[in-house]
Amino acid sequence: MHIYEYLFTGIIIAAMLLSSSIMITTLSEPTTEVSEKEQLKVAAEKLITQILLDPGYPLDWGSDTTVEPDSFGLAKHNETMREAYTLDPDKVLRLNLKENSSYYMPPSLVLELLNLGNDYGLAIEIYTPLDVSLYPVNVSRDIYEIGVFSEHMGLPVANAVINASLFFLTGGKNISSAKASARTGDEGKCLVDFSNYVPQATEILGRIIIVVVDYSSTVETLQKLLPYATTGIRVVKVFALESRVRQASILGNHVLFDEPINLDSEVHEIIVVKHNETSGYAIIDVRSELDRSTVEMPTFIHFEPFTVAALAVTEDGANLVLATRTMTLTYTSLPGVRVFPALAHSIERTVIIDGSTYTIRLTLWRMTW
Amino acid sequence: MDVPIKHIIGTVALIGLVAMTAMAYTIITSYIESDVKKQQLKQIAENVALNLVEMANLVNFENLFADRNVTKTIDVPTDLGGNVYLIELMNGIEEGQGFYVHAYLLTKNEINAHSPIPLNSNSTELLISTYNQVYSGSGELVVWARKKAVEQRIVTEAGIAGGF
Repeated sequence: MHIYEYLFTGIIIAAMLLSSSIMITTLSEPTTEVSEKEQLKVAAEKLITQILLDPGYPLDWGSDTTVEPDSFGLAKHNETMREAYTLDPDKVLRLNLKENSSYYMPPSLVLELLNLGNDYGLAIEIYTPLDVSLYPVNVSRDIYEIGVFSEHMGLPVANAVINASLFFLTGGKNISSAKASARTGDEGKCLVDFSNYVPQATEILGRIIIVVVDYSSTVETLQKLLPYATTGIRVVKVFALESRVRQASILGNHVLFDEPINLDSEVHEIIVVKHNETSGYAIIDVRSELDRSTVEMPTFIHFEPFTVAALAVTEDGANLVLATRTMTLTYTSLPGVRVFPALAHSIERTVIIDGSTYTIRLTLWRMTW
Repeated sequence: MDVPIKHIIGTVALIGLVAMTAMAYTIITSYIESDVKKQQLKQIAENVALNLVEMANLVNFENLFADRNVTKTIDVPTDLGGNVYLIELMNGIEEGQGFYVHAYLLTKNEINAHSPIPLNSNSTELLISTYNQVYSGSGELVVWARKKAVEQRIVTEAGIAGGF
């Protein structure tokens, strides 16, 4: 046997070790990958259960602006009644405020409260199942076209009941309103005409249209399948039509501004109430007053619990102020990023916030494997 | 003499190489095996944590004064490749980790995994019972939760039990 033969045998043995190691690693890789994905799926289920069913602690950490939560959960707390998958609008809003707001909940704090530390990243997206849009047809006569499309694939939603209210500011700090209702056609669109109710010669200083879409309660087949179902898909959308309309948020029973605005004390709280089986929802305007002792954060003296928006006028009467609770959001631990890592796992649930239907999507990924 | 010495050196080197190859192969396979076992332990820990969160939230939906345990039996493997493992609930609040499920092989502690429990880790509204350790031998594990009066407050208590 020559020296080359020993060397050759050695090389063969080393090659066998190398190839078999690669083979074992390659064979185990798919199993490991499946296992990791499965773990991520279970972890995402665990988190969404906690986020949607637990109110967190303190139980009213959303509306109580003086506290930081010890535990994170978005469920609405009620002493006498429990409703699964019903979220607290104030808790959701605290995720949706501007980052420089002192009431904003940063994602790092949420990760810490959920005991995830730096091991995981997460994103919470909340969106309406129906995409509601408003197109001006004749602005001077206040005729608008409303389109209702499914959020997924943008399919038109026919036979949805639309109730809309136009609130407009004329001189003398007067907020007037006009109502219209319609049903969407096969193309998912319908016209709402306020021309008979809006004085044409008067200068309008600000317009706001509140649209309430009531869908499934009008679908006959669904009513036959679920005769006792009291709620269908309800979507509320608020459109501010002029740039002079100043925007604000409602947090708890406070009005939050990006910059301080001097408001008139009278405020219109807009609530949405179910009419009956086929007529959709009524948009009701409840007059109330603001306690303006804190200019940065006026407080409602009486606050209706299901207020979807509040309207007020600036002290000089020049601007209409719209305060809303914007529930649609993208909240992520990767700021500014809307594309999530490839191995991320997403899980979706339908939830009710303030009586309206939303879809919440939780995306979870590992920061390290 | 020259030729036999060359053969002896070559043969010894080959035997050494074969032995080293076998050893390296064993190390690589045991590393992969421990990695797979870690993954399995992690899956088990995640499953226990998920059920614990579900049970605690289910109890929160119950009548405030309902005095009963809510339990769920979950199937877990009796062993991992012939190795018995242990599942325990840990309180890592002082280390800044909150509560977590810890699973590890009894014979090799270094093969372990943990899964965080995203419950009220810092608040006083929930108690995680960290007394019990559950061995895998029975193949069944019970996750339980209940309402409990503590210092004139009603809190939710949750934990695991085994050996049924």
